Amino acid sequence: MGGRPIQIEVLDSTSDAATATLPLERALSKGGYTSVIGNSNSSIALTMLPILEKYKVPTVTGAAANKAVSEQGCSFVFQPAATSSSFIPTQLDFLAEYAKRIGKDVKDLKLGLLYSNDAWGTDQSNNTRKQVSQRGLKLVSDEGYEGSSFTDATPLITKIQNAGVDVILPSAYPNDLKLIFTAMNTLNYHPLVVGGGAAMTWPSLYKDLGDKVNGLTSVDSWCWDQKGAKENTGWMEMNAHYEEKNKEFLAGQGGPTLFSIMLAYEAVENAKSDDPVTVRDELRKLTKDNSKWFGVINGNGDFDDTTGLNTGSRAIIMQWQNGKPTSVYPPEYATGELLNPDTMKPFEKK
Amino acid sequence: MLQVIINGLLIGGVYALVAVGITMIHGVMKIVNFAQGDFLAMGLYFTYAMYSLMPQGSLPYWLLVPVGAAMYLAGCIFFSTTIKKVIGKGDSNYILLTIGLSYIIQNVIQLIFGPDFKSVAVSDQLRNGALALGSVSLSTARVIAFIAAAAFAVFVNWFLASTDIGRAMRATSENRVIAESLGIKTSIVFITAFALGTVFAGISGLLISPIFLLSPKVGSQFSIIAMSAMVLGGLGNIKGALIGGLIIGLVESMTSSYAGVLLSQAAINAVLMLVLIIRPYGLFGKKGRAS
Repeated sequence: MGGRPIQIEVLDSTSDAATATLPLERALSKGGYTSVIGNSNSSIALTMLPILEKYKVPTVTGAAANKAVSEQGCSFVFQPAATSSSFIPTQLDFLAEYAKRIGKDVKDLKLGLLYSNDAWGTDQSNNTRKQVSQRGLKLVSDEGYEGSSFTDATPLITKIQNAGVDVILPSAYPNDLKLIFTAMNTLNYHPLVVGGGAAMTWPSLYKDLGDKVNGLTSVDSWCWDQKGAKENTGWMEMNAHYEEKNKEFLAGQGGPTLFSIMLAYEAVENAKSDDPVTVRDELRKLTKDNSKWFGVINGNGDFDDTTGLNTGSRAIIMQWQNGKPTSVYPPEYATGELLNPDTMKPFEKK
Repeated sequence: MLQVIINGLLIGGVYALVAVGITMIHGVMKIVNFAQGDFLAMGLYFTYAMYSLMPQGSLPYWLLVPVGAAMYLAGCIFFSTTIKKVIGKGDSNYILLTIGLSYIIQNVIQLIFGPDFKSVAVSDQLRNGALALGSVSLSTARVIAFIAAAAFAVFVNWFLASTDIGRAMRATSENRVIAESLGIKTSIVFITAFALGTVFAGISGLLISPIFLLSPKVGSQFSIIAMSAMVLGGLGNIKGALIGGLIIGLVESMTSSYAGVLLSQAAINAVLMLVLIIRPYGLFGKKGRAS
């Protein structure tokens, strides 16, 4: 930019909130950083905040979905992606739409909540319970678990199956999801699945489940073919390059991370400076109306001046079709058609 | 209820195999190997690497011999370069050493294979297949893992009772000094025991390769369970480790099914505490001896 090369340094957060701050502190203490991108894991993003405040370097957090990240009083955090406060209403609105398509009342469906007991999972589950109660829906199963702690999900799924659950709302990471879906297949138990994002939207799910992944749905802050992305030529060029190089689609964490990089890039361009405080101030000014990239994310993009939360971001529902996720709901952001998960064909009109 | 019990026994069989490995090491060398779960991870990754050379849809179990051989060699190398130095040299050196070994293994795996989750691309039939026995539905991969684990348990019993090296291992575990005075080469016994313990963990990894995703830290949860099974059964007691593994599998399954997954670890530890209160040396352990 301006004749100067952009250096991107990748730091390993170790995927452990307890030690994630060490590489960040070590890096920022050396100085010379204009901005940070990440972390898409809310637990880790939370631990980063004091370090960012200390060294006055802004971060754009990628896909971190727990609103608490922008509620800690840190003035250097920007949370662009939809949070669980948007995830849950979208999931339940989608459920109402699904119920209508199969000729049922959504209040007759029995819901089962299954979540990883970390910042993201508990945030999702708390919001779900609140929303389910407000809408008068039936929550018949509510199971939390320590992520990556069980080696067999069959007892858990047996319990959920015995509760008569029609719709499972899982918020889980890859290995747990594998065990959950394998157990469901073993028990020949196929409720509607409306996942809470994360591993539900990753390419590894298809590599792992094969064609059995088709029909599964999930909410997320991102789907590679959402309207805002498809309508942005520059974005689709990067998307094509990514797919060619990596032989897979830009997944649920990847999209918001790239989006965060482009916002930071745009802020540096606007600031005409690499001073992190100046870049932070430019990030605050970005909106859907003045930014080349903000429209890629669903909703009316605008960072709150105090918290850094993108208050206008909205979640999207994707459905796995032909081994790839397709955005299917809500219609204002989606480009694909929702198929009946049982038949993988359009719903019959009722 | 029957489904719950069988689920527990199936996973308990795999726990038992990992526990047998760690028990064998402790029984002979009187050290607890905190890297046992990471040896399981190594077995998983060896399986992953070798499986990529096989035709798609092959059974990973054909890799039993090459994975076992690779793990045996790895065990010999680990023992010769690290573990050998601390045997009989103090009460706690081995703790830091094996914990350090655990971190090294995790990081080397991550350097070579990367941090992303991976899976062994077995056939859909194996990955998602189920056997129906009346009202009970059993995962094909888990049934195979259990049968294989049971076969290894029988092998271990035969090995320890009927082979010269097995008898030498039992003698060394009873009393090293007397064993040496009777002409037993304890250096050979130690390396064999450690390598075999490594093999058992690695084979466990192979057996669960259709069931689990691979990640550098996948072994950590098995380390804890294996140690619990070992203590529950009695330190150094192979039969105890087997029974301990099955009990832990059952407790985990029943608690998850009837109380909640979040309580399963608490339940396992509660059972462990209860057993130790009643029998301080474990179900089959004896004071001052190890068989």
